[in-house]
Order: sequence, then C-alpha cells, then structure tokens
Amino acid sequence: MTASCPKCPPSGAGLSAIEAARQGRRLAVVGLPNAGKSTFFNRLTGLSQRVGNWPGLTIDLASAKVVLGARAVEVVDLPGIHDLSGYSEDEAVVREVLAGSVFDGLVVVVNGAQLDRHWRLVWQLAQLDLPLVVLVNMQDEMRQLGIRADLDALSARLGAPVLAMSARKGENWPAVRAALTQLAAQIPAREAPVAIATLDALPAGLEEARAMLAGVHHVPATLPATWTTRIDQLLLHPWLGLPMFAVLMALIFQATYLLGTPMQEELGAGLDWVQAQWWQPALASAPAWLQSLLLEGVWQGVSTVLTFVPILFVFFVLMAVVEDSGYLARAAFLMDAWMTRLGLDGRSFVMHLMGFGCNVPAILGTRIMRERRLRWLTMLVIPFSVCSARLQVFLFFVSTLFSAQAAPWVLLSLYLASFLVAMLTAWLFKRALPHREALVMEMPPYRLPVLTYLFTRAGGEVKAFLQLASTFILAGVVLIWALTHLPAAGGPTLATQLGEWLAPVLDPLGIHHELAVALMVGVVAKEILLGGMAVIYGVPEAGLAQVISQQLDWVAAYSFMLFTLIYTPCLSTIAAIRKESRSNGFAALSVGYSLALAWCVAALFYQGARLLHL
Amino acid sequence: MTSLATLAAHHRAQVVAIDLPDTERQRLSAFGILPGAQVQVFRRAALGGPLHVAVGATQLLLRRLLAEGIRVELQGA
Ligand SMILES: Nc1nc2c(ncn2[C@@H]2O[C@H](COP(=O)(O)OP(=O)(O)OP(=O)(O)O)[C@@H](O)[C@H]2O)c(=O)[nH]1
Repeated sequence: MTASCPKCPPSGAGLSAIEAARQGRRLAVVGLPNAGKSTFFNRLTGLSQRVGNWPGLTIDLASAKVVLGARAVEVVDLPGIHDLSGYSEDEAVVREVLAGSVFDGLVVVVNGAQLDRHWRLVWQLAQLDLPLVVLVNMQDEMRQLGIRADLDALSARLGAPVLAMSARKGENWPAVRAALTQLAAQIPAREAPVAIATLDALPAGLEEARAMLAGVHHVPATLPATWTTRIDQLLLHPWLGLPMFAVLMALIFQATYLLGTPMQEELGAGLDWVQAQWWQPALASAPAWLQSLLLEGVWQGVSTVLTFVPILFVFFVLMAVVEDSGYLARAAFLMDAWMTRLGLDGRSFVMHLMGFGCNVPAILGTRIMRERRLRWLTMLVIPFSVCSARLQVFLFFVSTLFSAQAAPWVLLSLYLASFLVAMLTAWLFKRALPHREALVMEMPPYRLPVLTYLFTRAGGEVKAFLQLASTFILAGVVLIWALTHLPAAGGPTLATQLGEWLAPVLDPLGIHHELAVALMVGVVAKEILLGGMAVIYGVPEAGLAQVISQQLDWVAAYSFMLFTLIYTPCLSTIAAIRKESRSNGFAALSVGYSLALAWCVAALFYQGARLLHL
Repeated sequence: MTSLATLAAHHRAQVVAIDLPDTERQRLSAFGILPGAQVQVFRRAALGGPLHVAVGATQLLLRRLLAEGIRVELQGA
C-alpha cells in the first residue's frame, strides 16, 4: 500500500502531473489487491512504496523512472483491482487512469497460487490491445502448496509473455528484467489512451479465463496444512482469539514505550547540551528579543519535538510488522461481529488500528468499502484513533506525571478511551447511516516481514516527520512564540488575552489558560502541541517536564490529554475527510462533532474527578 | 441443498447457485465464489460473525449475510 500521509513528499502524483512528465515509454503495473505489485515496483525502481499484507490499496499513484536496456521507462503503480468492469472506487480510479493517460504497455502481477481468481483480470487486460507482460508472483507459496502452472502453455494461449517470479525474494529476477527490457524496446509509443468505450464494453470474462486455465493450472484437491493453518488455529481460537489480540496490541505499545523512552532521554540530554554549549554562547551578544526568539522559540520548540524521533522509529517498525504479517485481516475477522453491532465492520476496526500511525492513510483506506454510508461512519471514527502525533503528547505527560510503573498503563487507558469514543460515535450515528455491505475479503497467508523493508518504511516515516518539523512545526512554534511575547511593551500578551477570552470554555476542563494557544495551533498539526508548550513555559525539554509537574496535577493533565485525543483532527485529516467524502457538510460535521465531544468528555472527567476529590 | 451459512466448520461443499442481488453476486465472483466452485468452511466467528472459508487456495472472510444467499451441495467433512 502506498502511504499517502500528508507529511510525505509528493511521490504520488496526480493525473495531470503524470501526463506532463511522460517522456519515452510508460508502463502501468496492474493486478489484484495484495498480488505483490508494490513489492515488485519497489524491487524494480528501488523506491520504498508501502507494502502491506492487507488486501487494501495503493492509494495514490506512485510512479518512477527506470532504465531498461537503452530506454528510460516510466513505471506507474496502480491501485489493486479485481475486475476492470467493477464498480468500486479503486476500479473507477484505474479505469479513469487508463482512459485518461497514455500507457504504452502493461505489467500484470498475479498471485500464482490463486490464478483461478486472478486470471480474469489478465484476460480483460489482454482485450485492451496494449502490449503486456504477465508476472506470476509468489512462486515460493505455490511450491509450498504444491500448486503448478504451465506458464509456457499459458503464454501461448494468451499471446503474451508469462513469467514466474517471487518479487519478495527476487526469484527469477534476471528473466523478469529481461522480459521488461524487451517489452520496453519493442513497444511503439501510443498516441492516445485506451478509449473509455472499450473499457465500458469489457465482458466479465469469467468463462474465458477459466477456459484458458483449463489443464494448465493444477491445484491439489486437498492443500497441505501450512503454517498459516496452524497459527490461525491459535490466533483465531473461538475464545482465546480476542484476548490474544488485546494482549498483542498492549505488547506493541509497551514495547514502543520501553524501547523508545530511554533513547528519547539520551537524545533530549544531548540536545540540551548542544543548547548550553553552542547556542547560548553563540547568541550571547545578540539582542534579547532575538535570543528569546531563537532559543526559547525555535530551538526549544523544535528540539522538544525532535526527541520523539527514536520512539516514532520503534513504533513504525512495529506497526509495519503487524501490517505486513497478515494479522490485520485476522483482526477484522475477530472484530467483525462486534463492529456490525455498531454499524461498522471488521475493516473499520482495522482502519482504526492503522490510524495509530497516521489518520490520513486510514481515511484513504476506507476506499475498499463499497457502501458510502459505511465509509462515512468509518471516517467519522478514524480521527479518534491515537495517531503518532498525539502519542508524543501523551508519552510526554505520562512520563512526567506518573510513576514508571503506572505510566504504560495510563498510556494504555488512553488507547482504550480512543476505542470507547469511537464506539460511542458509531453507536450514535449508526441509525443515521444504515447500510448493507457485502463484506468479503481475502485472508492472506501469514508472511514474514522483510527486515530491510521494515527499516526503510520506518525511516521514511521519520524523514517525513523531520520534514514536518522543519516546516509546519517550526512555523507553529514561531507563531506561538510571537503570541506569547507580543506586545513587547508589556501588559498582557496576545496569548494571555486569548486564554482569558476562552476561560469560560477551558475552566470546566481544568485546562490552563496558557495552553489555549497551543491547542489552537495544534489544529494544524498535533505535533506542534509539545513544541508549543515548551515555548509557552519558556523551558527546554528537560525543564518542561519539571514545570508541567509543578503546574498541573494528574487530573488536569489527564483532562488535557482526553481533550487532545478527541478534539478536531489535524488539517491534513480534515482535508482527507473532505476529499474522500466529497462533502463539505460531512467534513464540517466531523470537525464540529469531535470538538463538542472532546469538551464533554474532558469536562465529565474533570468535574467527576474533582467531585471525588481525586 | 442448503445455504453456506449453515455449514459447520471443516465441511466441504460445492456452490450450486447464488441468490443475491447482482452487485453482490459480481463481488463474490471476484473472489472465485461462482456456481461450480468448491468451498470449504474453516471456522465460524462467534456471535454470528463472518465465516472463514477457502475457495481453491484463496482464504476468505465472508459475511454471514452473504453466505446465507449462497446455495451449496454438501460434499463431506
Ligand atoms: N511469499 C511471498 N510474499 C510476497 C511476494 N511478493 C509480495 N509478497 C507479500 O505479499 C504482500 C502484498 O504485497 P504488496 O506488494 O503490498 O501487494 P500489492 O499488490 O501492492 O497490494 P495493494 O497495494 O494492497 O494493492 C506483502 O506482505 C508482501 O510482502 C512473494 O513473491 N512471495
């Protein structure tokens, strides 16, 4: 799957950009979801597209230039589709792309163990009068299952090259490259894209595909028991399945905390040292306001945010393991019955889990749902999933205000709160958004994550975070500095005025007035919150902890965290919701509702705790 | 002839007919569930949850609601 998080560099280009960039020949990579397109694409182009063992989608179009033989060829990875004449969003996207821009040839990636299911798309694509190469992927799994296919015979029947491949292990790679090189060398440049009429008139092709496979594709009547079968007996156990799922999730968050926090402390100490040894002496002769802006504003804000890099890295490695293993489909299976009662389905739950990384890809991931109302309901709950930006804020408060023993549990309680709020929301809105979704999806075999991939993926996320830190977070921090230091002539600062003005709404939640400005700027990106707080209290990372523990007791801090968890998602998420729902009203509802809910929940908690004299 | 939804775990059956609206039938066909296909039920999730079935080498999660519309001929355990 393609991460199309807002922080990532624009690797996914729009149609027009792709059109403008066309030089030489252009190939499209097409196939069913989870066939291994992204793995193949990454191997071919050396990029790190997001790969996941979840029949989801390559969300934006990733394209890259590769040199094949003497020719520079542009390769575009399309979202996974079942059927060119299908009616899902992805199928519409692929039709639109094929009819909207010129492709000179197609590379079709199919799962060799499931040719019976995949070959229909191959047949349909072969009707388009475009040169194509078919890559029969997952040879390793075919062998394990004893599935055989006579690729030479298939090639003769299809009239196009059909090659074996294992994209993950690079099996048969030289032959694959040679076939692609030959394709690139031979194909003429097309003048016009495929006519939409051709696409619309395509027959289903089920019979034709079956006939083509007859006698050349052999699946044993009983498949051998694989690791997947054995692991499923355990993980999908009727009673133990769900508890084990909960334990697994808890382990991931505990591990993030236990592995990441010590590294964070080291880094924080290092950054403070840099400030004391380098910046302070270097700026000693600068005017006071400039010192304040650069040290208390920029450096403190940004360095506080930077200390989270190790934690994010650990977290994204673990998330990638879960995503790539195939366990997410099992989570959907386990949770579906529960989710149905809330008007959602198992996939909504998985999207909520994916939202733990970043809400934006999760919002885009709802495209696999066909029913618009189900999509909307799912989009309404995704922003409540604790994304990595909110995780930073929580980690900070939790490690500052709670003992080392209690901290991981408090963190866990926030994840529970996230699920509870999502459930409440679904329950509230399910009557307004009734639907009947024909849920059927693949449960892919368990697959071992590829180590290098895990690290490139996590590295990519960290890089995106650093880019965000150097733009949005920097700007936000400077803005907060300005609000907390102006007017310079004395009297209440703009931030104080703002805080006082908002006092009637903040006081019932026990949120300090100073923090109002951070919360407001945090709407842009929640990563700014912490940096903003460092600026507000005018202390570096290490000092911030001390100030916070003097200023806030745990009840007020927990109320602040609940508010941060629930209130308005960041701008990128709002934009994604607006784009995917194609409705300003729905986006406004999502924002307004979450703001109101955040206030209610935090107020209930704070007032309740105070009543109990906690 | 029974519906796939009534099949117990580990049973095998052959799909005979699909009594579902066109869009749902088309969707199922994309996963290999067509008249004539051999299916095997691996397990059924608790509380009326989905079925875990296999069609050829593909394993699927299938909503109970859809399974109810799939008519099958039992072939054994
Ligand atoms: N065993 C095996 N697994 C593979 C092979 N190629 C890819 N995979 C795995 O198959 C899963 C799906 O791969 P992706 O590359 O994400 O598939 P995709 O077709 O891009 O999927 P979407 O983006 O969801 O459409 C991942 O877990 C890969 O690691 C292979 O040759 N053998």
